[in-house]
Amino acid sequence: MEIVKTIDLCKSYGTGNTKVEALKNINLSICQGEFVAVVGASGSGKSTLLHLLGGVDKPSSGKVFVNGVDVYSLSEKELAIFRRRNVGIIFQFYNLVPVLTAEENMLLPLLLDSNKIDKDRFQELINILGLDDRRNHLPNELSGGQQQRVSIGRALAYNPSIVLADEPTGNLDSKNSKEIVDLLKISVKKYNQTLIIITHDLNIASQADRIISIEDGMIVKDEDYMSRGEEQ
Amino acid sequence: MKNRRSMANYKQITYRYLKGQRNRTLLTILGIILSVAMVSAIGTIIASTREALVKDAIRQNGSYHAGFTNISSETLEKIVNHVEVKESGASLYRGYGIVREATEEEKEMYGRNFSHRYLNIVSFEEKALDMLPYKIKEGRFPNTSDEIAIEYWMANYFENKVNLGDTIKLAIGQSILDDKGHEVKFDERGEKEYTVVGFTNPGYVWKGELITTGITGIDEEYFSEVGASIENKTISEEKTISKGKNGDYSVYIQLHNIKNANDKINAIANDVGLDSGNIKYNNQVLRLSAESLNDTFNSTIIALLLFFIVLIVVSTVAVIYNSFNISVLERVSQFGLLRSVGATPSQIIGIVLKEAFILSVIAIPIGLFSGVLAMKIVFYIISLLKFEAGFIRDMEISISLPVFLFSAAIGLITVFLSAIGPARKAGKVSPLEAVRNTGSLKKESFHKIKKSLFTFLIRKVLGVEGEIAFKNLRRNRKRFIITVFSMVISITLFITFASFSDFMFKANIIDNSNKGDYAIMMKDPEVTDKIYDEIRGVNDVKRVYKIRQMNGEMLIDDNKISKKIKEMAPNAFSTKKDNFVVVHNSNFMIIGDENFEVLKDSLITGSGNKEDLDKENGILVVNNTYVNNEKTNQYSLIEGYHLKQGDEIMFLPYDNEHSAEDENKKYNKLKVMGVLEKGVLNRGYNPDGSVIMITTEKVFNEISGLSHEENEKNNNDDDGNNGGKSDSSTSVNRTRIYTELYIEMEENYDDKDIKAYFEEKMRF
Repeated sequence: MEIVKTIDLCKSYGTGNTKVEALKNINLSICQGEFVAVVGASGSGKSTLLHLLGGVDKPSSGKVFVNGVDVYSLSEKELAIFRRRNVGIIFQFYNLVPVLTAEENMLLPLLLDSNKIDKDRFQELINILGLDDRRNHLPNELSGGQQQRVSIGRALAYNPSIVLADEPTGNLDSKNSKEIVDLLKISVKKYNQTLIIITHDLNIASQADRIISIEDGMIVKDEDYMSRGEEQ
Repeated sequence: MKNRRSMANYKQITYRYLKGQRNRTLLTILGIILSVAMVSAIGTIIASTREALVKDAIRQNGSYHAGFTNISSETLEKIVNHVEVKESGASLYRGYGIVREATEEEKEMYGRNFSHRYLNIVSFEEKALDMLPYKIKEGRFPNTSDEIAIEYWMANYFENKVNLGDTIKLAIGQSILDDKGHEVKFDERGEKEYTVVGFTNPGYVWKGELITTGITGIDEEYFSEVGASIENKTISEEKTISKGKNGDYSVYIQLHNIKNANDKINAIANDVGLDSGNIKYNNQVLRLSAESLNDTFNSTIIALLLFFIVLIVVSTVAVIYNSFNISVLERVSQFGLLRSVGATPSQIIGIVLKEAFILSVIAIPIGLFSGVLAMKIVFYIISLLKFEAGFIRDMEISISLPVFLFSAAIGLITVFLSAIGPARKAGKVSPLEAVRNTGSLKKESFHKIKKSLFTFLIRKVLGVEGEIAFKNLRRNRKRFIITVFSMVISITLFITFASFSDFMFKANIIDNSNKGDYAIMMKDPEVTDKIYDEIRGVNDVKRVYKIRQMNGEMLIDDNKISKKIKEMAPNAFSTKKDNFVVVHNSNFMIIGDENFEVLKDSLITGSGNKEDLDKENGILVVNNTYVNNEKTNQYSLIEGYHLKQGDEIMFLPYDNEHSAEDENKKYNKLKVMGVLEKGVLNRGYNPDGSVIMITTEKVFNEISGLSHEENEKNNNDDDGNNGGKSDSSTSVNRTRIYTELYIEMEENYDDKDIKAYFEEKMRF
């Protein structure tokens, strides 16, 4: 089932001579449950693509559909609620709220919705992430890997349909990196979520179902390893 | 240790932010406290002043709103039962009771010819006494019509000195007066025995007063009995003194609601068929308790206070806005993060506004009470100074609910105004900020600084450090402007408050200390002159002013009257006489010849030489005057006249004995020998848009006719029948001229000698 779809997606910064085209006519379709890795050099436009898919940035032209919803036709408020309920974002620098504990950071999207918290599900999540004994710690009392796990927890807490990760392991050592990717893989499989991950790490990319290579704002290669594997 | 309470709602993030930024939070709270404290201090002082004025007015005039006098018992009953009336207390006039015969000296002092010292005996209901300003000095108020309370100093005037518990027997009746108020005869109607149960303390004691109040009680059954019967009139004619006749009743009332009191009182009078002659309004109290702020304080002070409040609000906004703005800028990436995980713009605005609200909730109550506390301290300090004005002396700084609500509202508005801008800014933060900034680094718009002569000069004068500092300041223009603005505002605040307090000091303290430490008011010129001479010799007396004043009309050239005063009060100068303009209400006065030296400081032109004035019928004039603007009804001090040294003025004192069109009235020619900036004591300026003329005792006595009378008196003493021959048409009835002595004491004076002098001379 198709969950993410873009039509002629363009994004440019600046005007006139200083105009930079970050994305050029991206047409992309991603199915539910897929694990997609986006690779490319710095400045190739892969982060921009991710932000546009997550409803964080605004495209210059073109459309993004998530779950059949035309994301950029929504109002500012609807868009915020859409992000809250449908998209989980994981940043390279974790971006936790420093004044909130690990648990509160993870629950933030639910709190914003004033939703009742499903305690069992949350406990399960916190166990998977291995943060049970760290739940009442503030971010500055946690290690990098722990902080990133909190941010994964936050991304997954609302059980979003797509999870976007922007170089989630870029700041971590290889041991922590492996753990994080394993966690991501386990959780998206468990909750049948779609995972789109930006990475420089070929090890991570190689674990994906599909690798999209971007260069100068265009998709230059779109390899579907699942189907290739089937072919082989 | 790590037992943090978990959040139930996203808004609690606010608390965490506040805790996280403790210093900024404290600064903001302090800002709010200061502003609320200032507003509540101003409000408290206004409320307390009003309260003190009302209290003072009630103490002097009683708490009743209106009295209906000389009414019948039926009318009394109607008034008591009227819907508008909340409280009422009745009184019944019983007649005059003879204390003893008046001496010739006393009669002359009183000014009206009465054969006896009388007690004006009135029965009061307890409720009436509560509403009237009578005060008990010793004993109690009477309960029955057999008991009486008299003014304490009257006790000495009875044949035998009266003590509490004594029984006095009084001849009671009516004093029949002629149309000038002199007694023709005393119509005795009976005798009555009273037990003296109390001594009252009157507002002032003047031993020349021949008629003082005797308060008696009312017997309970008495009113109902009389209330039903009309024949009382005939009974009272039959020399029955125990029952009142119609028209001898009075009733004092309080209304349910003091709003529009005058209309309601008139309506009551109308309903019971009384005309305005029967109504006695307690004007002071009515005016003070019902009027709006605008009437108590003149519009200038109101405008000034409003200006202060605006200033306070603006400066607080500047400070708190800065604090919020910085805190929002610091947290741009965090707000971006919240946005990226799904917070709507209004949720972000809510977080910032809630921060502001929490700060307000903490700071406003503290501010309210510190304002009151500050005022208490200020008034404690003022109480250490010598303060004359009565209402300031018994001013109590009290907590006033309206003031608190008003200040709290002002505080909330201030904080809201400061926070709404930064909150909106936070709401507009794009979710992308979460990725764009990785934490602490905040983005601001920077301007490139062009090289100019100015930057060159900065570098030359302040060196490289100065240049970098300057560039830093210039880089963010908005913040630079805000910083400069805060500084300007705080300097303005300081200057305004400093000059305001300076103004208050000048306006109040100095003015009040100018009334001297003791004041005596007397009628007999010779006696006053004697006392004046004597008091100046008493130990620790620094200066005695002898103020004797006549008011009158003067004739001056039209061009001596300033354009401004003619604009403000055109009707005042409409009468003309022989090409001169008639100016009313001019004050012609002496200050005591020994005091001319104090005028030197305020002399603008001319000389204050006493001998010159004596020689040429000379006067010193004050051209500045208070004028009431006929259009705006505003009272202001202006230069009203252009009188100069050498000008001549025609002056005619007012005189009741002669009618205005009397052919005999003769103007006195006076010569201006000098111009003063202001007069002395509390008579600095003429209060009625006219001129003050200060002269010597010799000139004054001649103009007023006092010296003629003295001569006459001497002549009479010489050969016994030379009276009435005087042709002095300007002679003023001497009983109309009062003399006031204002006694100024040395600093840290000992009041023993002066008090002894008073005791001896005045027999208080």
